[in-house]
Amino acid sequence: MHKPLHILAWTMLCCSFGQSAVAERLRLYIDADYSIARPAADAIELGVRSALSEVDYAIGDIELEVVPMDHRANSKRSMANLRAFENDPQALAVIGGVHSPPYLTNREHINDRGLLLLLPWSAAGPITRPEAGQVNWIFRLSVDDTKAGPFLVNHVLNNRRCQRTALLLVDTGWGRANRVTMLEAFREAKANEPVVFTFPTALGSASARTLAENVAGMDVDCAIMLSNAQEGALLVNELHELAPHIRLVSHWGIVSGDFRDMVSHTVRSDLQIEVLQTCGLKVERDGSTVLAQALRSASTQAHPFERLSDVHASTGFVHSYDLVKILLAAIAQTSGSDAWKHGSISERRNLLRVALEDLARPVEGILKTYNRPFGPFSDSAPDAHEALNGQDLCVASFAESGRLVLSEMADHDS
Amino acid sequence: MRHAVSINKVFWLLLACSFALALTTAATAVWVTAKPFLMETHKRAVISRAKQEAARVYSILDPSASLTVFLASEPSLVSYVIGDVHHDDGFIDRLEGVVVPENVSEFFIFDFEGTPMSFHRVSSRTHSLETTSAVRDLAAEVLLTQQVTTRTVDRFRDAATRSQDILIAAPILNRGFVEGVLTSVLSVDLGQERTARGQIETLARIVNVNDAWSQHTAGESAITVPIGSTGLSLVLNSQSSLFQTIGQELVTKAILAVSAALLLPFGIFGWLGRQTILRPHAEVERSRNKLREQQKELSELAAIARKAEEAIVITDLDTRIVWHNPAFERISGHSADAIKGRLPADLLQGPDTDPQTRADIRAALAAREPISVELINYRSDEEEYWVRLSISTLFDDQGQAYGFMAISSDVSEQKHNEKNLIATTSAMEWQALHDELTGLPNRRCFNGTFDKLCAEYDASSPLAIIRIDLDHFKNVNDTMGHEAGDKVLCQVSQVLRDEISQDDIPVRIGGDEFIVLLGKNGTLKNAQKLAQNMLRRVSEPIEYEGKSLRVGASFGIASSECNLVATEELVRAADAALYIAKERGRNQVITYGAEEHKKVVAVRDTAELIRLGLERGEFVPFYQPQIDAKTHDVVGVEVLARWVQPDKAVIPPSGFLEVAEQLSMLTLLDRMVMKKALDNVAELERAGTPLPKVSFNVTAGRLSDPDLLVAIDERDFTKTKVSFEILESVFLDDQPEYLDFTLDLLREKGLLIEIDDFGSGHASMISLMRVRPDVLKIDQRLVYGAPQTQVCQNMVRSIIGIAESLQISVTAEGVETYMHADMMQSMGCATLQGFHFAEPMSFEDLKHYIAGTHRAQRQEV
Repeated sequence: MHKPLHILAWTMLCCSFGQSAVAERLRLYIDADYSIARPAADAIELGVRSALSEVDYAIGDIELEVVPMDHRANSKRSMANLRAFENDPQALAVIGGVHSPPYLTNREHINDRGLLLLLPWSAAGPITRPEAGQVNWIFRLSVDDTKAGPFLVNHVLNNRRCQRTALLLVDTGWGRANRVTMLEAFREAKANEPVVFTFPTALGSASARTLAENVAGMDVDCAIMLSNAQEGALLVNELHELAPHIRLVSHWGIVSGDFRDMVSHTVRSDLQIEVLQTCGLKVERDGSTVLAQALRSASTQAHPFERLSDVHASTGFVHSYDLVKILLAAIAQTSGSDAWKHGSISERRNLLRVALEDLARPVEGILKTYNRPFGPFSDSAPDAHEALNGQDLCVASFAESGRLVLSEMADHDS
Repeated sequence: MRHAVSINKVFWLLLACSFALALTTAATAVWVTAKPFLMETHKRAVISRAKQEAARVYSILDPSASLTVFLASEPSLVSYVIGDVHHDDGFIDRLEGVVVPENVSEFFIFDFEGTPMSFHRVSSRTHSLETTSAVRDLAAEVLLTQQVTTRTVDRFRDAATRSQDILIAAPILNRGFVEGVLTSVLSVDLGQERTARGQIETLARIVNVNDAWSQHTAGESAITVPIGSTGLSLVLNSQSSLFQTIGQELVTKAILAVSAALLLPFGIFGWLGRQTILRPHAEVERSRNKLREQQKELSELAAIARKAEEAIVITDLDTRIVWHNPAFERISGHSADAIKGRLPADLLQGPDTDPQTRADIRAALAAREPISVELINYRSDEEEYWVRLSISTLFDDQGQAYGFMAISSDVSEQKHNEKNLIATTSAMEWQALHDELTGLPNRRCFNGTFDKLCAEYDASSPLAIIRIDLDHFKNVNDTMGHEAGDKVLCQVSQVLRDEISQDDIPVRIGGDEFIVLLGKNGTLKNAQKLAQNMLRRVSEPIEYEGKSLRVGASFGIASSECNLVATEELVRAADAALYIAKERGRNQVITYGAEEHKKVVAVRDTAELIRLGLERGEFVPFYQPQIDAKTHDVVGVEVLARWVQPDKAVIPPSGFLEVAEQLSMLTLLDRMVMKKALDNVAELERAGTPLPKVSFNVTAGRLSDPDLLVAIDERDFTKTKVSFEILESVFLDDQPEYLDFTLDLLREKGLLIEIDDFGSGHASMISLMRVRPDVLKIDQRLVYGAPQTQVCQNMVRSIIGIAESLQISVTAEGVETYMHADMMQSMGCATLQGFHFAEPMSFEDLKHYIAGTHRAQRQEV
């Protein structure tokens, strides 16, 4: 062998030792609304960090770093965050926020560019169902509105015995998608057709009052509301003034912000407001060691969490915790492969996507033990990227303190 | 003189300078005192105007700003900006629901990154690129400051109206966070305060308060006033015409006042100086100058008179000569001694001097009036000469006549030239209107005279035209030479002169053609009698170089007495009569009577109908089938032109061909028939019954018509051969070289050549070999005669023999009976054509005919 070749061989050997010796740092982006719905974003981040802290932010030689990005409920800002993620050679996956519109709007881009997106809260049905011919890069561990809509309709008709219902829907992709599924559910139940009202995301108090007046004039006894916290609070306060007899069931968008601070207990109890939830509270009631561990991991000296209701917007916490646990399992499953070691970040994201669709071992989460939570998506398997299903839905109501408590009137079997 | 001028000038100059100095001093004092006050007044006026203007601009901006802020908070706009909805329909609906101030032209929507999302134009005004750029910059700024911001574009949108673009940007907030910017663009018309003299002229512009550059360029004299709370300022540059005007007015009034005060003392001083010093001095100078000028003028005049070419004589009031110049002696030939004291009339005038002119001169002298005349004078040696004479009276300073001055020049030569010119002009005019050889009036003279007579025509005095054309005059020229011809023409002219009466005009209108115009008494009888006389005389032999020449003449007469044609048409009518005389054998007199008129009108009507027929497409192809002599199959058709008139009457070529040819319409007619025939053949092919061949009759001349080949090239069929039938006579004439070329070209295009009417005796074997036609068509006269006469049979046999030797197919035309058909077939004719088989038929009939033939063939099969 010639001398120069000797030198080259030694150099390569040294480099490979160097690589194996130093842990690789990869990033998890959180694309959430840290401005308007900050409690939700914080709860999601808390869940993520809680799950990561249990493994010291590392899987094997891979160190994981959390990068919070604020999209302010603005789909365009979310797109900017996704672009930053796309261009980051160390960014592995994005964990989404509470709002559905950014992902409804940007879904095609996400699937087109191969951006691995994990959703712990946003609920709009179409997000996890890609356009024909596209690979599905979006996984959800949350309520799926294709299930939530019928669940809520079933709740008002069968548990609340409502005769005539109003649908109060925010005019976004999320609201529009739910309108379709809920109207279909009403038809299937052969119930009275609901009255539908829509309102923009930036609802002002004057418009809220006008809307409430219209609802009050329509002779309805119940209302199902899809709204974010702020405009939801405006609308609920106006409704309480103009139509206090109405009983309100809300999708969980209102718990993403400071709804409980903006709406008094009197209003909440007069309107008998109930909120859609996954069954975290039920799990807590039944005594869950995983939940206890998660709360411990999340606790700091300044903020100790003893009960789930101590966590503001606890839904986000529970879901993101479970979702990151599944993600870690997938990383562990695939990161040992040669393809992972030599692959580019795009290839690694793809390996991770494949691993998520084919997890070999069950993952112990707060809500349940996840056996193969995801599978390959196809037209015949439209729920393949949904970790939860209709069985995982519950209804909660507000305690006087504003905390959510499991509703007495319903359980997930309703 | 110079001395006087300088005294005068110095006096007045000193007076004026003193006056001016006094005025200037007074004006300067006034100006220095008043200036600070004027400037302060001016400044206050400009500030006041600037404030008014700023308030006006603010009143425009304020509602626009409020609207922009209001629209920015529109929820549907927020949804659009944050991407919840993909369209801004909600915003547009909102925009349509509000009253947008008329100054606002556009709205721009930007997202959180300052990227433009859409814009909406609410007026027809457009903005500049500079404005677009400024809108973007402002959006980026508002995203940072999150404040409603107003900016101006430092550029006038329209120089004439001085309108300026203003941008108002408002942040679009979603839950208190800036997620976009709504910017409205509006145009503020600053007007142009250029008013009449005496007003303040201002130029306003809007600048940004923090725009240092704008402030700097505003200039020191500019007044800057803030425009409400918009962050904009109004800068007013004033042109201080008010200041200048008031200043000027002040100074002017001061000067006027001082002038008024000083005018009296200065005026008195000036008047006294003028009376006592300047005027006496000037009087003396003026007298001296006048005397000097008169002396000079007199000496100059005398010198000019002495050197003049014209004769100048000065007399006293009794017309006796008191002075004359040398030219007078030279022209008149008299010496100075003989002249002095004489009367010019006695000295110069003689027997041929016009007495009337002399009387005119005397009358003018008596009346003391000037006169110019031309008259004959006599020199001292009695020689006549013409002078042009001007006489004027001389007056002294007091206007009293004291004599006469006569100036004359010798114009004899000029008079002589004029006389010559008149003579020459007359000769040329005569030549222009007369024939040089015979001396008779020519066509030009005739035209003029005839037109004049027509214009003055009176039915009681009829006009007549006799057209005369010599018969066989060409022979005289060809056999005896042109001199003999000229002799004949002169003799005939003499006959005309002899025979006509005084009022008649004989004319040679060219060559051997004459006209006699009977201007008065042009009755038919007179004209006929005159023509007969002339015919008799012209027919008499003419002696030339010992030989006797004889020519005849044809006469055509037309008289207005007959009332057949208008007088202007008489020449044409006489022409028609002459044409008939020639047709009828020459050497006779024909009068244009009712019968002739009828013929002419008939031809004219036919011509008109042909013209209409061509326009209406009434000329159509008829088809006569050509039959195989053995099988009796249709092997082709010959195309024959027919004129189907509106009443469905079918006219054969004999009814129109001659007139069409005279009208040069034959080519048009041929084209029309050929075009229709080609279309018909194409139709038959499309119908599945194509003809084997179609033949067209063409003249040699038509072969050179490029349209012919174009029409053939454009034919829309492929299965039918096209054949051209050319008359055998084509070989007789001297055909141009292109005939061979054209025939070759036709062959290259796959066309067949047939010789029509072969056997009428024109073609030579050599010509036949040269052309090598595909078919010979035997003249039908031979076919008719074949059953009866042996000669015709022999001729037909010979032709068939020739054709066989040249390998040319033979077609027999005029096969009218079974006997014709049988005989021709037995003699070897390949193709037969004639009434025995079918008459020429229309296209519709041809279709039926072919269909019948096909049926028959199928039945046979």
